[in-house]
Amino acid sequence: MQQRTNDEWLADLGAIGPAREDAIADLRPILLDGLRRGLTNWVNTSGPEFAPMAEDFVQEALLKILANLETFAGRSKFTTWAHKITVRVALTELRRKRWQDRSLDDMLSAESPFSRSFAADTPTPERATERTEMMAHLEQIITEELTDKQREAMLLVPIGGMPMSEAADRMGMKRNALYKLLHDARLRVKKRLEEDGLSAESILATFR
Amino acid sequence: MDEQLLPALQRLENMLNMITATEEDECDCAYVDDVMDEIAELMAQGVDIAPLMPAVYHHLQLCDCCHAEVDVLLNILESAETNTTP
Repeated sequence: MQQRTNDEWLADLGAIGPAREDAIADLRPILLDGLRRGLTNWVNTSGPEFAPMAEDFVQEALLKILANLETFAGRSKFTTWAHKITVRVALTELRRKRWQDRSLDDMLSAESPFSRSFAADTPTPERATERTEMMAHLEQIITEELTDKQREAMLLVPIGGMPMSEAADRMGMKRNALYKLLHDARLRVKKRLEEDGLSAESILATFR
Repeated sequence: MDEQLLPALQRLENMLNMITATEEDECDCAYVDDVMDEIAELMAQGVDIAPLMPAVYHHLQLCDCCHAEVDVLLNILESAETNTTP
């Protein structure tokens, strides 16, 4: 395998003909090996199903790399940048597989802390009333301060634990747009909680 | 405490923690993606990015996807140091 500088990678992958084919042939095993070493906490990288899955990820990543060569800023090694793109492709697909059995409707109903009673199993009726009132207050804040889309995002990501990339896909948005939507939502709720004299600690203390 | 209450409380706590950590200005996923290869190389060299890039560090505390991608990239770079492959 030929060792290349960043400029040589860019020149060869941007060329037409054998230089490009050779560079792709050299980059492919680097990316495959990276996935095998990097994804150990996500999948069984020594199992028989890993190799074909990794080949698919790398194939898709190579297309993205070749289409975006001009965006490489040169602040890292070229191979690190290429690994970054491959990792994004792989994790997006692995998250999709992990969450494929969870429907959006189920998530939106089942994951809401407002959909269950916190009043059960409380030591005293006064405590039960306190919990019920706190949840009603929180629900009111979320209803009054957030748009439908922001509420949906809050239920899926911070409450439901769905990864941002998967939630964005289900909501028909880019991940970046979802982050901005959630940021606006978090900021609005934070300001309202402060106006109402509430803190995360004081709210959680009601339920402990 | 009832068994159903605990996961519901954890979900509530997750939401409240994220709200508490919210800052007026936060960098987004696109910005973090732009610098992810650079910060992973710095982290692999043992550099603490919290004081160096506080906005990126803060984003990584709030965004599970970017956090996971940095972790995997770091795994690749750190394991490369013990191998010969880049």
